[in-house]
Amino acid sequence: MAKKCITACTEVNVFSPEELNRFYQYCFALTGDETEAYDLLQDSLVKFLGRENNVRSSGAYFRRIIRNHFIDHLRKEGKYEMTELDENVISADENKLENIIINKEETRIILNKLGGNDRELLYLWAVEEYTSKELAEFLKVPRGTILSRLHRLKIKINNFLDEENEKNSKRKYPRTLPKV
Amino acid sequence: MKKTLKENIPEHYQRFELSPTQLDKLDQLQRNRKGRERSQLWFKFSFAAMAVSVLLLSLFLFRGTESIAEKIAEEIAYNHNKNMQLEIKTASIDDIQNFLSKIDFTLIQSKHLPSEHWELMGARYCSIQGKLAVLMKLKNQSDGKTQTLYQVTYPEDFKNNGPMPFETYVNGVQVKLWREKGLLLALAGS
Repeated sequence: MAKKCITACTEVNVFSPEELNRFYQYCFALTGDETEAYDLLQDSLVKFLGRENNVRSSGAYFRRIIRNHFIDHLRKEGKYEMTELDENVISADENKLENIIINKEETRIILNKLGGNDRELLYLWAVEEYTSKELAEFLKVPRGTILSRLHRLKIKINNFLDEENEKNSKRKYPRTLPKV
Repeated sequence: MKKTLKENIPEHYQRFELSPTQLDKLDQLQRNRKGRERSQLWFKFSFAAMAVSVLLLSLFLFRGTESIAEKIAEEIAYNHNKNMQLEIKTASIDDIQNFLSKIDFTLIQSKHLPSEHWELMGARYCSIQGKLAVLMKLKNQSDGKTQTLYQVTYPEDFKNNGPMPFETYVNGVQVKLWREKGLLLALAGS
């Protein structure tokens, strides 16, 4: 059934439910809110379908529409913050992020704490498996900026994990004994 | 259970899925667009079909007119070659008009065939495309050659006007057709 739908959807140059869910998750990474994510997806789809020469089966093209639409929306709301461009590249590469060991709950808390830019970067890196070069192309920033952003993200996440561990250890071994 | 960050992030996002209602709405959006694409395609197809029809019709009309001209030219060349006897020998158009009283149009002196260069020798009835016509015999003063001039009411089929004057050769006879003062005139000469 799903296979049939995917074939049919491809024939008419539209997205299958699986693809739509994937785009929805990208929207969620950007907005951090399920309702806003759906609105963003719907508006972007309308925009995409309204274009005469939309590139057939181009996920990257649609993802770019979503991103541009999201940025336009933020600009209108006066919430858009330019990502600073780091030309002073810190020697880092994206593989180091992979060394972080983390559990589900920590992942959830971290993603909730991060801003939209960082969440998007992590989403594209982890879910879409973009390389730093592809990230640079998609986000239209120099590769050096991507590497330093990934490096800073790693520091942020490690700091957070250290804080969490500290909290947990405090809970485990409270300084004061409970009064009996 | 602890995993790498790269494993945990996709798992985290996989928990977020569109509801069936939301999927239905998005699917509807896409279907509407499909319908619009179809109607656009249909419009483009109709437009193309109409353009082709107009082109074919124009070709047909043009070809039709041309074939009528050719038919008339053939008839005129036949009459010319037949060299039939004149019913009236005169140099006056008025005399011909009076003598050939069955014709329902007024004979003209063509501006292309001035009397100082063309000597009128006489005339007779003939038929062009089933219509009563007048055949006049003329002598070209410059070379002494005899040619035949035909006058007939302008055929309805020519109203959609093909290229005029029309000139062709039929069995070695040069035939020229043109419209003048509402009549169809034809000159044939060997």
